[in-house]
Amino acid sequence: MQHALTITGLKKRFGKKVALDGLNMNVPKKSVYGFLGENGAGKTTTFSILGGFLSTNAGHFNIEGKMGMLPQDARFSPGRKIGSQLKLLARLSGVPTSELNEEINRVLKAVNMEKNVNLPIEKCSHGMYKRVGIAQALLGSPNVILLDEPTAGLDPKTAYEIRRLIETLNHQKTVVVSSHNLSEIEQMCDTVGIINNGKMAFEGPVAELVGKSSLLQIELDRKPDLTSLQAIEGVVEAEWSEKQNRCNIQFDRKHHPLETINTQLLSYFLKNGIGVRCIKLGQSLEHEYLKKLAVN
Amino acid sequence: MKPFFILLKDNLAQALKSKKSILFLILYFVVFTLVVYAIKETQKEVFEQLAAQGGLDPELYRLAFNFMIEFLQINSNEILKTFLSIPLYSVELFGVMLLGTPLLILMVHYDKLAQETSDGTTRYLLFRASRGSIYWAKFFSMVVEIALITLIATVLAVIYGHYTLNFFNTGDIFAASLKYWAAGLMPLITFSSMVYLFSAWVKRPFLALLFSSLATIAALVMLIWVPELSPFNLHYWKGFFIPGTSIMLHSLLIYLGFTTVFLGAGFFIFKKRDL
Repeated sequence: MQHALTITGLKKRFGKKVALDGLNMNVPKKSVYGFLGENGAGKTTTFSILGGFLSTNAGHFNIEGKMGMLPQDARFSPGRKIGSQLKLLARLSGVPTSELNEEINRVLKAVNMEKNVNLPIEKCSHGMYKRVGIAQALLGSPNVILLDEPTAGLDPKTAYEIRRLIETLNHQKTVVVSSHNLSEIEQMCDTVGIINNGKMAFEGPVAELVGKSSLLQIELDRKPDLTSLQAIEGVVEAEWSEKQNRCNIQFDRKHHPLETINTQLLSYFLKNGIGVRCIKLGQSLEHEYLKKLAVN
Repeated sequence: MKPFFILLKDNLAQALKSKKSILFLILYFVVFTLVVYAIKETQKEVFEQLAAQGGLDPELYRLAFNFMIEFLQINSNEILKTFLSIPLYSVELFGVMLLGTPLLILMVHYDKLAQETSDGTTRYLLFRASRGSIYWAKFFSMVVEIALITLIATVLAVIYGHYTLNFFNTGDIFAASLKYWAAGLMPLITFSSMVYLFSAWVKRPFLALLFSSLATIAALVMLIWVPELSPFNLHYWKGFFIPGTSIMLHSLLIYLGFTTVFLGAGFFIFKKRDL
């Protein structure tokens, strides 16, 4: 697999505190990569090193092509209009002078702010400010875009719009998103990297992380007979959640493929006239994430 | 090199729009004009008398002028009296360069890098332009600003002081003034590089102001009150106010040395530090 961003053995210390302890990271090309970790795990430090704000103590990284970035704690110069601010950054991103206005309109349109080109930056609300931050990251059509908590502190509508925007970039650009909102990471990302104490605790496709589970969550229209369910070959345990109308089934994945279990369970429900509303493999990303952190 | 020019142009454009810069510029020229006008008025009668007597011998005047400079270095308590005795042109240029402009540089530029580092505004630039481009573009925009301010001040000095300049027997007064302006710019660049060093060094803007203020006071004390502390004192005075190309060149080289040290140290710090 080709990688747009590769980090090898990255180390960073702040005095005695070790922020990054030999971090390795491989971000596949043209994918959305979720970068997860607790507060202080080293996500922002990693982004800051990639952005050139911080030096490293060891290790190296390689970014293929141009990079755009939404850094955390970055501010625009006060007293400037959005258009003027973006014009400077666009020129530095290599946009030709003749295409400046077009480029600024393009990125502002992407974040639904095309009408605010003449708005002074200090008059922007928190959400608008964040959107301008994302717009500047898109300037000059970078190959790799790093977004450090792009939806933090945004209202649900704006956060939804940002998520939609990131989803539209998938398969066109390489996007690395850090966030504490795990459901949005699960929704947007193909691949995740979980950083813990400055090291990569897990890196791989979201489907692999969530899909390795041997748990099936099946929403039904009524409670099934749990004893009969447990009698099905491969089913280890079955329990019923009355509140959610959900049956949680643990199965022996090692010896019984998912397809076989699914077929047997669906046949059982069909035979007994039990309506199936939804089947989901594994726990949520949140569950798997917490498990990974606990292991490490 | 391209990001350097983009940033330089942008910094200059922003400086022209900066409320702080404009406010200090207005204040600077108002004070400057009032001082020059007051001095001119006090000396008007003397010059009218001199003119009626057929003027002053330029050679005699030059000798007196040199004596005043020596006198000022030794008897600092007579400063005010001496100021009123030397030509208006020199007073103006001296005032602008020795006192006015360093203070202006301090007030306008003390936070040139520190404020932006503290605010995080440089973060949007750092992954697009090298630290070198950012550092040098800001410094050179500061130099251009100072050069323009002092050029305007010099032109004003010529306009206000033309009455007395005739005694200098300099031939082309304007060309001579430009020579003094160019030579006088060098110490100001040195001064700016000192302020810039503090701005690159400290992380908090108020500390940049504090250190720059202390350094400004120290430099001015060296220039005015401690003649033994050459080369600052000696070259500032003799190098720039007594005609003589070799002395001026010597002074320029000394100032260039200081500038290189300040800027080099500032650049080293800015390049290495976490932003």
